[in-house]
Amino acid sequence: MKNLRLKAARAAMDLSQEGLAYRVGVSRQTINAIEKGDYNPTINLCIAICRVLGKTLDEIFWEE
Amino acid sequence: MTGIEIAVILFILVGGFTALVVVVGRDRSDRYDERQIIEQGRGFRYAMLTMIIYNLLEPFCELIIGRKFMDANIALWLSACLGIGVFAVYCVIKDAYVTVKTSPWVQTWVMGLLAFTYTASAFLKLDGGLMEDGKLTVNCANFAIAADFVVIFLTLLIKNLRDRRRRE
Repeated sequence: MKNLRLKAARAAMDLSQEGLAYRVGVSRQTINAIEKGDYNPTINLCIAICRVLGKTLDEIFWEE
Repeated sequence: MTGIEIAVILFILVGGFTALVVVVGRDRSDRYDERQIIEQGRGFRYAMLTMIIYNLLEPFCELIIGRKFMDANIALWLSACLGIGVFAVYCVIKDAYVTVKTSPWVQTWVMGLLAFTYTASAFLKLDGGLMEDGKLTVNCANFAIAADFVVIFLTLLIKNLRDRRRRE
């Protein structure tokens, strides 16, 4: 399932996939795969993404 | 000094120098991320599967033809080249070949240079041909390695061009 909340939060901070990837310490393709729903990140990566975006895990990754 | 001794000294000098450059010049924070490591694991499985299939097919073909058409060491080289090729191509396609901080274009042109020099070297060493007494010679191994480099280079090139076009 696509992670549109991650994409929206990233866009709200005016960050490109490359910019977010650089700040988190992963490749751009990994961020792209997470947004497309092709890859389920580990909890450590989720936390790192949330820290950069200033969001909680629930706001970005929790599915109702 | 015999040719073998010169070759061993050359091997140690060139290998040692390259290892030194790699170890000293390496950016220790540069690494593969978690998704890339998972994809590399999958690539390794596909490579092993390819090698197993090859090692079953090769003796089967010899059985059908009724004679050996390559020595065991050539078969081993070809098997290794196939495995490495499958692993590398899978990793390139899944964006798991280049570390996080390495520029994919730098990696591509380094691979292109390797492909060019190894192919040229394989042609220069081609004395005696690819077949001898109905069997593949060791020159085939040179060409198999060169083919590996060429295939990896082309895959990297196509992948990078497609990525660039998609981002534009």
